[in-house]
Amino acid sequence: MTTPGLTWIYAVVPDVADGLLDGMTGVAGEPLRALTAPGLALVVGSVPREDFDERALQQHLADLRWVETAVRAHHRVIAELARTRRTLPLRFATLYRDDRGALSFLRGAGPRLQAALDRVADRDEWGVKAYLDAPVPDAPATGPADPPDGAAAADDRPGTAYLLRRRAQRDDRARRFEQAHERARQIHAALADRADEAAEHPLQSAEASGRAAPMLLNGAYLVEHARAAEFGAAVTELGRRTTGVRVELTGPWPPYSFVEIDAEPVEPAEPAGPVTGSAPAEGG
Amino acid sequence: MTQPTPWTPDRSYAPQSRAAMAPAPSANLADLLERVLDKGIVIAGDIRVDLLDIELLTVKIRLLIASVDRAREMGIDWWEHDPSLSSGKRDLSLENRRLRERIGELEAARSADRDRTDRAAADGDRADEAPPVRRRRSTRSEP
Repeated sequence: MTTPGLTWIYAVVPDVADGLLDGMTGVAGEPLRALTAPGLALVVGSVPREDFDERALQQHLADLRWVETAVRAHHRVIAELARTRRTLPLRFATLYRDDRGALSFLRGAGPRLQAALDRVADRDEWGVKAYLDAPVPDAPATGPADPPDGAAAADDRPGTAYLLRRRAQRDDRARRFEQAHERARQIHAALADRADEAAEHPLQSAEASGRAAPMLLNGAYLVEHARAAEFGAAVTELGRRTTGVRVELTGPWPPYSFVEIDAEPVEPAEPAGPVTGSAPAEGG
Repeated sequence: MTQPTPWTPDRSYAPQSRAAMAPAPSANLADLLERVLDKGIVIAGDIRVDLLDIELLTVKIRLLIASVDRAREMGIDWWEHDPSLSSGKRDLSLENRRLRERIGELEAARSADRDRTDRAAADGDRADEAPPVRRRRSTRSEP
């Protein structure tokens, strides 16, 4: 090791007993270690400055390939921790200049972190996405859907008839989309009832979802382990019962969408270089 | 009522491999990005990387552009045929190229801008910089 690295933080767990971190590596392939406070452990790794200081990181973040690799590495650590522990994931790219800053965060935010750990105890996040089923290609309008005046106009004014037919088609599609959207809201409400907490992510475009059909719901649900099977069954059942909507379940995820506790550092870290004068005491 | 559930939670936390069994194996990066980049405990750290601002936008746009080709490989072209989505038969690759060029311009402008800002910041008081990154609340719970 040449220069001291920066401290990348992954997650907060209650403890790292039983060799939890043995053999685990992080975003820079670095071995993981823990900074501890009573009842809490912050899982961290030392990452090289030349790749992770502010400027290098900004550049890396513009490289999708780098982002994907690093995001998956960050996730892999969190997912592995969550397999056996209550886990609070930290957002990607949360960095301190050294362990001292990270420790002061851990100590300062201790009670809130404990409370957040309790909230996610014995729970997983499940993702449920709903899509419009059976995308509607530009099919010729069917007879019964034609408005009466459109049919009347068809004889002498084929252009008008065509436009009317197109409009009816478009209206029909909009109506079906609206209905499907409404059903997706109902699905979300039904699932939120079965979950301890619910959240929504922005709808993904077709390009991002990899699905042709428009997305109607991108929900996340915090569900007790004991109720996971029941939740999965509810998703299946809602999907089968709801016409015009296709439902997809992902998970279990670590509780990414449910650990938002705004844990700002109690005092901003000293705006100095790697070594500051005195460690900020968060005695409080 | 007991329904057979196709997903038995196994505590493996591997949504990507689980989804690999499902029809669409490609959606997972988007799922992961929206969770990992935008979620999790928000603390400022003392290295400031503004994931929520331009950079994240860039990342997301890049993701979308990268995925268009992939989606087309998978035979997904529905939006090209829907006038409300594609505004006619506009050539997607042309638009794709325009977007790439535009992103290039934005990135060039931004990095030049950033260089200037960095130099200025190096001279000035760090406290004058933008406040610590704070995640906007985008998580909504439906009552």
